[in-house]
Amino acid sequence: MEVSDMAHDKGKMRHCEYTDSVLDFVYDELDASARSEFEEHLAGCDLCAEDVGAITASSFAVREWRQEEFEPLAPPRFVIPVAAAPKWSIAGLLGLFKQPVFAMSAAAVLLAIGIGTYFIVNLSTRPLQIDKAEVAPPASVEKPTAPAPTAGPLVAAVPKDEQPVAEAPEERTSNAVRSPKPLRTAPKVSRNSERPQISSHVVADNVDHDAAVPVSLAGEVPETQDRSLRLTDLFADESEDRGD
Amino acid sequence: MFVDLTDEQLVELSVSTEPDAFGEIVRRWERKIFALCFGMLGREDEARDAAQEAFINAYRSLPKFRGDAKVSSWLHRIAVNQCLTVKRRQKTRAEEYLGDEDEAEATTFVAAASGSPKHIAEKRERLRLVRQAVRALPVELREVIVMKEFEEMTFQEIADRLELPLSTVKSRLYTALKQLRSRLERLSVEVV
Repeated sequence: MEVSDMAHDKGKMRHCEYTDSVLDFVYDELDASARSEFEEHLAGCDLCAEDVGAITASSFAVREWRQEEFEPLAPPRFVIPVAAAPKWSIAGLLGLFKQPVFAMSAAAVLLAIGIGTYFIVNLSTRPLQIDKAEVAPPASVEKPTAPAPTAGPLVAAVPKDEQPVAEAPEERTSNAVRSPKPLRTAPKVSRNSERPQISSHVVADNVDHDAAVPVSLAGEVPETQDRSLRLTDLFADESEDRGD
Repeated sequence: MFVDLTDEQLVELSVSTEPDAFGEIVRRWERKIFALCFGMLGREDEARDAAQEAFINAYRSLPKFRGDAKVSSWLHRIAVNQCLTVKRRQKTRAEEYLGDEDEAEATTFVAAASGSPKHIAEKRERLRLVRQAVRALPVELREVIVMKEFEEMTFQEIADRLELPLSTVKSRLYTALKQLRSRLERLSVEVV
């Protein structure tokens, strides 16, 4: 509000007791007796007459604006998307999976559960398979001296596939665990591959490594086991032909 | 279904079990809120958007409504705040694109259906200046003018809606109309 207007308005309000009725008169909110009383006052009060003129003019201007630009407008019809409070439902949960992030996460979890289940089931039901041809009994492997009567819980700690080499299949399972002597494990035969696997679970540190090395790979080959052809054999044949 | 209920009962229903009860509140107040927004903003499209946003904000704020004020006062306050938000955005936009606001104003004018071209042009200019003068008023003064002229409320209704004393309402309207007259005179507009 401008300073000059405020001073002027306050001055007028101080000098005329009917100023408060100007608005009621312009907007027709005075009762009949108050209206006639104010009209009598208005005839002799220039300040109130000026006020009524100014306020009526302003009100008329705004009213014209409303009639010209607002009244012709179509009545509004607002539609508020009134939605019920979110509740947990199957449809709502399924709706979550329409989002790629949730769908991929769920797929990954299901895949992990499936793979885990597959391995758990197969490991617990895998039959004992040992390729006997590859389990050549080395001479140096010692038998366990004190076979345990029962494997008990210790058996579970050792994979069933790892068995002592030199024993019958029926005895291997329990003796392999209890044997205090150095043991040499047989190459494990994988179910999906013929490649032997060497396990370190039951190989003791005090293994006789020389004995454990296959004979064919040792440094000196005993003559009785050497099956290669020698020159003396050829010469011996020639001397026999000559009659030696 | 909800016609016989008061605004306060409708709000309670909307919050508790019947969200559709808010539709009755919208139906009751959409015309007045739209008029308020039109008077505060001066443009139809902005007024419609602001009124729509005001009702949406009111619906979102239903749980916060404590019943201390009347529903009409609560809606009015939300609508005025929404109009102020729009005005702030306009100001920012006008600072970015100078002259854009005047050009947009001119396109919203509804031409008179009859009269000479000169008369139509004078009225168009007069209405433009009135719109400009009203928009230049402080918010609390503009508010009471719009409530009186667009919503056609009595002084007591305005006082109830704004939760102000009756004398304060009359004082504000008196000041608003006097300021408007002064501005229009400065703009050399014949309003009588």
